[in-house]
Amino acid sequence: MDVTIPQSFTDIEIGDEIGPVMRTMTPEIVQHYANVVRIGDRRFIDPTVAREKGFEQPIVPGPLSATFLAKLLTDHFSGWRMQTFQVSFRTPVRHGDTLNFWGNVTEKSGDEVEGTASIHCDVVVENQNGDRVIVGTATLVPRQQRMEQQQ
Amino acid sequence: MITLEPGLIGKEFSFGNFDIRAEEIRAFAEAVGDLNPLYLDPEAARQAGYPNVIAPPTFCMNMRGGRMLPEVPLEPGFTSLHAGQEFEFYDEIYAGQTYTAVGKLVEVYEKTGRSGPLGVIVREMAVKDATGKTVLILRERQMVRSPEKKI
Repeated sequence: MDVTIPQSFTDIEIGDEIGPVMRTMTPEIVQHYANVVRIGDRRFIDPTVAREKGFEQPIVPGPLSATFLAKLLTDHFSGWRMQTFQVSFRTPVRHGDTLNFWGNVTEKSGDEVEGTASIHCDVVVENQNGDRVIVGTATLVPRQQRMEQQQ
Repeated sequence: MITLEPGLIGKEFSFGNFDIRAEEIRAFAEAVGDLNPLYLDPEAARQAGYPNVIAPPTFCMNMRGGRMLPEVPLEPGFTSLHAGQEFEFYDEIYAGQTYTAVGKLVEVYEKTGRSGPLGVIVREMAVKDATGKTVLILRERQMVRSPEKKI
């Protein structure tokens, strides 16, 4: 991955597809994430605690799925950075669910030369049953553009 | 279903000060399988114009941890789910720099959804650098409901 060369604004078109990327949310992934961000709520890990709190089985923290969605975008748009990122968690994700992360470019605005370029995307995460578990939007700008504006 | 202490809306609560180390960024990046060189390799980060490695977009979850501040007590028997997140990014988080994170309650309301009464708690976390400049804002929605129906 060459992170220094931004994907050209002119090469990005409305309707461009992002992904899909598939990922199975194993208990090991959840445990590793929970350890790193210090989530103490055992409903994400322990089946007994999950049942006590009204869940049939442990669920995957929404922010973990959102993190994979953010990665989809920053991987796809090399040299661009996130300006806004909004997600709604519509349905709980269970351990072992296989998720499909994808998106589309919905809008381009500004101008690359003037340093105002931005792209807007819709993003979706579906489970193995086709249920939309997360929907969201994101706006990205070129990393270089942001740095030049700061100087 | 939500017991709200008077004067809680808008009152700020500190998550603490965070001296961000490259090792913490690496641990987060590896936990979520995001091996972008900008997060791991200082030389790649410098080539991209940054002073040091930067953090993935959702790294601020490492600052928030399992806490959602301020805590809002729920009436006995109620449970909560994370309903969504909104990020606004104004700068990167860099290794080797110190940040502060402050949370506040933005809004609390109850409504009737398809599955019955729901409560919604909206919080905001602002992350600032050592100069006091806002680096990012994270807005989160927590949904409160009766656990009678298994999720």
